[in-house]
Order: sequence, then C-alpha cells, then structure tokens
Amino acid sequence: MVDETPPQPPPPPKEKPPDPMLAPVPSRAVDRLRGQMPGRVGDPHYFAGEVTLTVEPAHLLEVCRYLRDDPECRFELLADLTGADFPDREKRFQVAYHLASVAHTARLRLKTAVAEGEEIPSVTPVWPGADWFEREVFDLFGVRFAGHPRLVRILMPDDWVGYPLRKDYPLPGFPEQHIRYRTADVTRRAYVDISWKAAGEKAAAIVQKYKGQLPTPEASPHVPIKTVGSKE
Amino acid sequence: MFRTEQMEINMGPQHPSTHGVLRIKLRLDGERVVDSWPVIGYLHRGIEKLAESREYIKITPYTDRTDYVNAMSGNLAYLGAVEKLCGIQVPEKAHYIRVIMVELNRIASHLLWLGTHALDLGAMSIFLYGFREREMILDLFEAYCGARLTYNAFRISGVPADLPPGWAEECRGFLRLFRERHREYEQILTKNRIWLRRTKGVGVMDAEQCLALSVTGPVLRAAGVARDLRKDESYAIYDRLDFEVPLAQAGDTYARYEVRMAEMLQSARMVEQCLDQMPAEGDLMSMKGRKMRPKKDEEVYFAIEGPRGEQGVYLISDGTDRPYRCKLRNSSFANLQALAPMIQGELVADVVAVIGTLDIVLGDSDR
Repeated sequence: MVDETPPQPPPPPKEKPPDPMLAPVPSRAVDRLRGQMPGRVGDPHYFAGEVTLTVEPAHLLEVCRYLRDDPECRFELLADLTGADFPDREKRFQVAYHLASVAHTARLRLKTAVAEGEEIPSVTPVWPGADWFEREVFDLFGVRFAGHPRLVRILMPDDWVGYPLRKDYPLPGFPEQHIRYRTADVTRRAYVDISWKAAGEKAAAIVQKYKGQLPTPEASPHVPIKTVGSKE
Repeated sequence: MFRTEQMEINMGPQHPSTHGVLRIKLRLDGERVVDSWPVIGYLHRGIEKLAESREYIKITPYTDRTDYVNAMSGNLAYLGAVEKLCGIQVPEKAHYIRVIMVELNRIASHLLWLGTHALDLGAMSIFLYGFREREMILDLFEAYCGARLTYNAFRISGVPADLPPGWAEECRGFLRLFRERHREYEQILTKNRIWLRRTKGVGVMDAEQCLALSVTGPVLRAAGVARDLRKDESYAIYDRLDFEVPLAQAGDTYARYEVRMAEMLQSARMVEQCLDQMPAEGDLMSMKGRKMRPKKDEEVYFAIEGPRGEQGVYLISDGTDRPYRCKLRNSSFANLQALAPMIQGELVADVVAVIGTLDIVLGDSDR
C-alpha cells in the first residue's frame, strides 16, 4: 500500500526567543538626549539591564553637561572613568564614563573612542572628581585629556616609560626598566641581581619586538611633577 | 629682623598615621596647610593587568588583596560582576551567607577604622577595645573559610560551603556582646570633650563638593546625601532586610564618626535577620564545573556598597574565559581626592584626623 499522505512541509523554524540579557531597559536619559540633542549620541546598547551610549569626543563635554544639569537626568556623580585598549580598531582607545544619578537612582555608561595621538576633552569642568580617574587612564594607557589641570602619572613612577595596560605592553614589563629600577640604588652596594639579569635576557625577544615603539625617556610625553614649592 | 617663610614637608610614605604608604607633600605656613599634593601608587601591583591574563575564577584572590581589611566586599563586587556578565543565578542560601560575611566584614572594617582613627587622635584605649572585637569577627571568618585577612570565601555562582555547625550561635553570641561593647565605645568617645574638640568642624565637606569629587560611602552620607547602594540598587537579598541608612548633616569628622558608629549597629541587625531568615537547606552553588562563556564584546559594571563607598567592577568580555579588561573601581581611590580640599587651611594635626576620617586603604586605592 502506498502512503498517500503528501509529504509534510518541514515545520517552520522556531523563532529564537529574544535574549533576556539584551532586553532594552527604560531610560529617561536616553529619551531626553535623543529628543533634545539629536545626532549627538549613537543608538543605545542594552546588556544585562545597563544602557550604553556612544558619543564622539567632539560632543562629549556638551553631552556631559546636559546629562548633569538636565532635571530629568541629573547625573551628578561620575562613578567611574576608565579606558580599554583595542589595538585592532582604527580608534584604539575606548574611554568609558559610568554616570550615576543620586536623585533618580539611575545609571548610564557613555563611551567614546580615540586613535593614538588624539585627545579627548577632559570632563573635569563638569565633574572635578574626574581628575584622578583621567590621570589614571593617562598613566596606564597614554590617552591625553585636553584641558586637564595637571595630567601627570598617578600610579606608576613619574619617570616610567610606556603605558602598562596597553595590550602590546608585555605582562612582565620591559627588562630595561627592571634593570633601571633594580640597579638605581643597589649598584652602589656592589650587588648584582643575577636572577633579574637572566629574566632580562629571556625577555630580550619581547623588547626587540617593541623596540621601535618604545618611547625614550626624553620623548615620553610625561610631565615631571612640580615639587610643591619648588623655586620656579 | 623676623622673617617668615613657607616650609615644604613630606608626610609619609612611612608614617604611622597615614594608614599605609600614602605620601602627602605639604606646604606649610607655620602650622597651617597652604597647599598639598597626595602621592599614591607605592602599592601599585598591577592587579588589573594581571587579571587580563587569568581565568575569571582565578581573579577572585586578587580582589582580596586590593582592600585587604575588607576582602569579603572585594570578592562580592567582583563575583557580582562576573555573574551579571554571564547571567548566572545565585542560590538563595548562598546570598544569605554572602550578606552575613560582608556585613560582619563591614563591622570589622569600621572597628579597624575606629581604633586607628582614635589612636591617631590620642585615644589609646579605644584602639585596644576595637581590635579586641575585630579579633572575634576574624575568628568567625577563620571558622568559616580558614583565613583571617584574605578570605577568597565566595565562588562564582555561590559559596563553597555551608556555615559550620554551631557557627550561627557563635555569631549571635558575638552580636549580643558587640551591642554592649558598642555602648562602651560611645561612652568613651561620643561626649568626650577632647574627641569633640578634635573632630567637630574638622575636614568639612558639603554634599555638593562630595558629589562633584566622586566621593561616596559614609563620607557622602555624613554630608546628608542618602545614597546607599544596598537600598538604591538593592542587590543580593538586601531588599528582604529591614535596616536604616544612617545620615548626618554636618559633613565634618564628627558627623562621619556618628554615621560609621550607627552603621555598625545596622550591620549587626542585618546579620541577625539573615541568620533568622536563612533557609536551613538549599543549594550553595548553581554552577558546578562548567566553563565560563560570556557573550563576546559585552561589558558590565556592577557596584556594591562597601564600607568605604561604592565598590564597583567593570568587566569587558571578548568571549573567552578571561576578561579583556577588568577595572576595579575602589572607593579609596576616589575618596582620596577629597583629602587636598579638606585639609586646605587646616592645622597639620588635623591632617592626621582627616586621613583617619576618610578611612582609606592604600591597597584599595593603588590596586
């Protein structure tokens, strides 16, 4: 007997349920910004209940001022400011601003990106607390903030060469610097640190790789700290 | 003829009252501070760089070593961020154990602050009393996780172990005792004339300045801003607990003393409620032996209310089992920015008071 039932069409592919992690969350700040300042910020991105907006460095100060002063937004606290390095991207450094509103208990992340050698306007005029955060990003990534009151290193030694949190900065550091910081005062005690010498030779290959990119101390853009009360 | 000139001195990094390796360049006019420049970084260990080359689970012990007098909060903030990034649910019982540990650690951290702050200002006995009670909390921690300072007590998606037998009774006994001892501290300090003279009107910072300088935690609440992430962005099981957020209005060193003293009692209340509410049975970890697979190119920021203020962790994922970037937003770093404006024009002796009242940990600020 021949089966007369026509072949069943394959069931339509089940629509994937939307990922709950990517669900949009209501944000007054996004609505206000897109209504009041069209074209200044990109499309919002939602992840795990957080809102991220991208902004061009040219519009950053304007947007930040608006977010702080607008009564519907009132992001009066800059909770965090930090960088990240994406060497493959055209605009290598991403700087993220985590804003918090105490009045409305809301949060917002602003992101901007710059290429190496470009500057981001400092947000210290909007939130003076950005001072140390920007110094930290400068110290660890080498991102320059235009208009910062005193952009000097904060965590690394003042005469450090290179920016440790860049992805092309090797985890053990550059051996020249080990030797430099190891021998600065110990040579006087006629002490030769053999283990570090061996480590230096081992890492020589890494140095060769980055030799051309390493700024010399003279060319490094770091500004020496003015000692308080130095006679200038 | 008499001649006056300004003098520059270094305070720290080796100085008993800088609470770690903090160095402040001070310019003085007699006893008055004209200008100051805090120098940090002596304890910079590059934890953020190290984190980029380690799996998510292997970073937890590093967070112990940032704020080492308050390692439980460091663990909780980091693990909370990882769990948010991967969408991991934590079992109810694990939440309760975490909150018990974090709140006990807040009491321990505040006791250390109280002891050292008062010692700096000349009160020797309170230092011994504070450390006596802190020791009992450390014993409780040791009974739970085996460590007294850097606990690494939580795991991704939960906690590794239930409370040991008899632990809850020990803890309740401690909390009863602590309430009595807390009254003793108040008797020694709260109306003490020397203490009042040393703290009232010293290091004043109003709410607007605090917010502008990204200052959070008890310093902000002592200036009258009711911002407590346990209430505002209730994480874990804080929404089931009944507690108050202590506030003060003056914004000076004494107001911050009042706020922290009241916070200790609130924490004790919370621990007792947790012990009452905690289910006797239940899962402790929801994820066992599975590989971490966060979404590619996503990022999260998760913050908790630590004893010093907002303690946040910002993670960027590249889809692998290691974070692409791990930023620890620790409150001491941001709160230290308030130091220079607070001591401007004050006496040198008050610099010591202000460092104490900011409750900084240099491992926390330098990472």
